[in-house]
Amino acid sequence: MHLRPKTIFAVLALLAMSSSLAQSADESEQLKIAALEALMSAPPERALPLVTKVLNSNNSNDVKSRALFVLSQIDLPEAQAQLLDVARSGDGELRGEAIRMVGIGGNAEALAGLADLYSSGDEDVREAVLEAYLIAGDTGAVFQIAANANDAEEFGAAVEMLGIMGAQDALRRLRERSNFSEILIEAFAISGDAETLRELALDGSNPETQARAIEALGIVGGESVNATLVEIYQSTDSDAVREAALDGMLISGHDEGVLELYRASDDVREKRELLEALTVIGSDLVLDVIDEALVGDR
Amino acid sequence: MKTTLRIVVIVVLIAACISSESLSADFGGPAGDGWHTWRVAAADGDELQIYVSIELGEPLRLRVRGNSVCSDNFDVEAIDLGLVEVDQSIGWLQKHITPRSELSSDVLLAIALHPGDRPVTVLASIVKFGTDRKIREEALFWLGQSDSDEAFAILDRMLSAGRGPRYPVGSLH
Repeated sequence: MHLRPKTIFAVLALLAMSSSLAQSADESEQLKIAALEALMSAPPERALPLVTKVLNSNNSNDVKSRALFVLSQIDLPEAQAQLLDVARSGDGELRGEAIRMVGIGGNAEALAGLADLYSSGDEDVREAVLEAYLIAGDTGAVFQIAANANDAEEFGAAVEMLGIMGAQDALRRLRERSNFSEILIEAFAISGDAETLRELALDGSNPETQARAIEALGIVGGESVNATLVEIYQSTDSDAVREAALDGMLISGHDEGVLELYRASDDVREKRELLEALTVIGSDLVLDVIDEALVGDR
Repeated sequence: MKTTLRIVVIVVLIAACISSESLSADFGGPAGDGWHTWRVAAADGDELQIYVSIELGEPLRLRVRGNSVCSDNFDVEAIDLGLVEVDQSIGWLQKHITPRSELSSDVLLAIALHPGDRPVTVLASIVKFGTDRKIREEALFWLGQSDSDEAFAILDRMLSAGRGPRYPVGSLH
């Protein structure tokens, strides 16, 4: 195919123009975003009408999302009400963004308004509401969701969020009042609640729960937890518990504990397992074991 | 009697010269290398002390001291250019906004701290006619910090401009 120079020139010009148009559009958006950011430290009475205009305009969702953020920072009841309006009735993407912005704004009244939204909302709305509570650090609201959950999935999502929030008290209260579930153990671990996990790890009434709690202790880690894991390993008669304790040490990377157990063991099979664990941890202590073995051979 | 009157006039004039420092009429900005400083009225009713470092004839650094701006650790020996008019100070500063350099942001801040309408006029003109996006964004920021109706009208027009491929510079007039 032979193209005439004129055609090539026209195509190149078109390409250059479209690229320039795209860049200009991008620049226009960025300037609007800069203008919105300028409003964040402006007097609220002056900023609010402009932000409202942006939200009611045909601007892109990127610009509107930034407007929602600015709205969340405006300390006027009208601003919070408007944020909740978008959270209730905005389109999908903006709706989720508005919900999260209620969390960023941290206004107690607006946060309370999210509870109704959660009850009537779909999965995306519920997720956004939980994120908003996480951002705002509202453990009470997440606890209520977990306590009143209709199914395991809903309960799991709220409990997981409590773990991320480090809400140990709320998780302990849930342990007392709800059917115990595996997700709670994970949440205890994520929240760093070694005390509750240690209690569960030493309770042999439910071997499965006990094993999970022992492993979860490994997630929390730390000197005291490592000592507990070694102690559990040494004191149990149950293979499952011993295995869980070793897994816990693997998770926490407690190579010194594994080496201590290796040296204390007379059982060849157990020694092999412990050596494998040291290798999995990637510990340099394996070299000590090899040295000791070589010296022994001599 | 005439002599007495003459003496009174002379005394009054001398007193006036001593009590109030006259504004520099021929402020051409700092000349020669090294730190230079001048004072100018500030938007907060106080005074700004502006410091500019010139190297090889070019301004390289700028610092502002005033009630609304904090530069606690800044202390240099500088050639004192005295008290200057707002227009003179802004006039010199606005020549050093572009091309964009490390100085640009400090110059915009300094301009924004001056009193009266002139800072808004300068910042608005950068937003309308500027070609450097970063500088335009910073000018927008400072417009948002002013309490001027004109500044907010500009922000309003910018945010209301339709979603198009090109931000219409002319639409801001």
